[in-house]
Amino acid sequence: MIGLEHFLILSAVLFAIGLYGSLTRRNAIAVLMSIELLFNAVNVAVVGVARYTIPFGLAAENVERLLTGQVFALFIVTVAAAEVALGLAIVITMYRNQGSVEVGEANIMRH
Amino acid sequence: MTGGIAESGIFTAIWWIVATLTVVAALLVVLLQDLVKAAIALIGTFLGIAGLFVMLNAEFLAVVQVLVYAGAVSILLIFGIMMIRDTQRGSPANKLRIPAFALGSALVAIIAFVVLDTQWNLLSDAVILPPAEEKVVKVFSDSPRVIGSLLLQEFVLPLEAAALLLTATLIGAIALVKGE
Repeated sequence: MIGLEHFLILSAVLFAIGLYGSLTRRNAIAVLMSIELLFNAVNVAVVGVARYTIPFGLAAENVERLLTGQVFALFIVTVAAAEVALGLAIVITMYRNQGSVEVGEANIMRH
Repeated sequence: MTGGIAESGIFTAIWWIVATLTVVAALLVVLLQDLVKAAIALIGTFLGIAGLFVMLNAEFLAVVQVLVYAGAVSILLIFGIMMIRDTQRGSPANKLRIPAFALGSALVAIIAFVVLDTQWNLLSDAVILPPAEEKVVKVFSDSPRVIGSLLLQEFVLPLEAAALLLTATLIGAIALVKGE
């Protein structure tokens, strides 16, 4: 039987994969894709907790609070979409300025 | 919320299939040299996570996941890959490979230990009397309406903040790419 633990550990595995990718990739777009994996792993955990556990202070008249986690996940999706749009704009600017999107070569702000 | 499809063997089987596909697709995203293929694997991961959302009774979020991630974000990333020439020759991993692998494994081990060790306040263990139980079932089966009312009542301020964030991002992205 599948329980909360399954979803949380799956989410941890996805998060670790995304973390590995964002640390080891050299290409800035590949790093962005790994960061999207991180966001999605967190979303799985948040929605899993919302489905299986009881929020503090739940009563019959505020039973809709059970879906607070899903609302959080919606906000995470919004932030992730904003992040990828801005991230791509930065990557494209970086490519224009130095002709490369290698993360290690980004030193325009370094002194 | 007791019984039902969530406790049947076929649910368990489908869960394992979807979870395996999601993890394999995520590994492909991280390991593939060709970034176009990695982006397609990323779409696979997003769809797998949408499947997980369906299994968590979050159908609305599953639809949002397919629309926003599998639809918009992945296309945006593929456009980015196509606009930048040196992504086609691949992206070799840097020297951090072994420390990053160790960090990831340690993270999974710690989280697994904590998750298994915690006493969760589970919904299925709670004693819910029949009138309230009906309400609980209704909240999950009627989730889009409940999420909408939560967004416009308890979470109005974050909602406005999200709108501001999206506007600022839009202006920022245009200003960055357009130049002076």
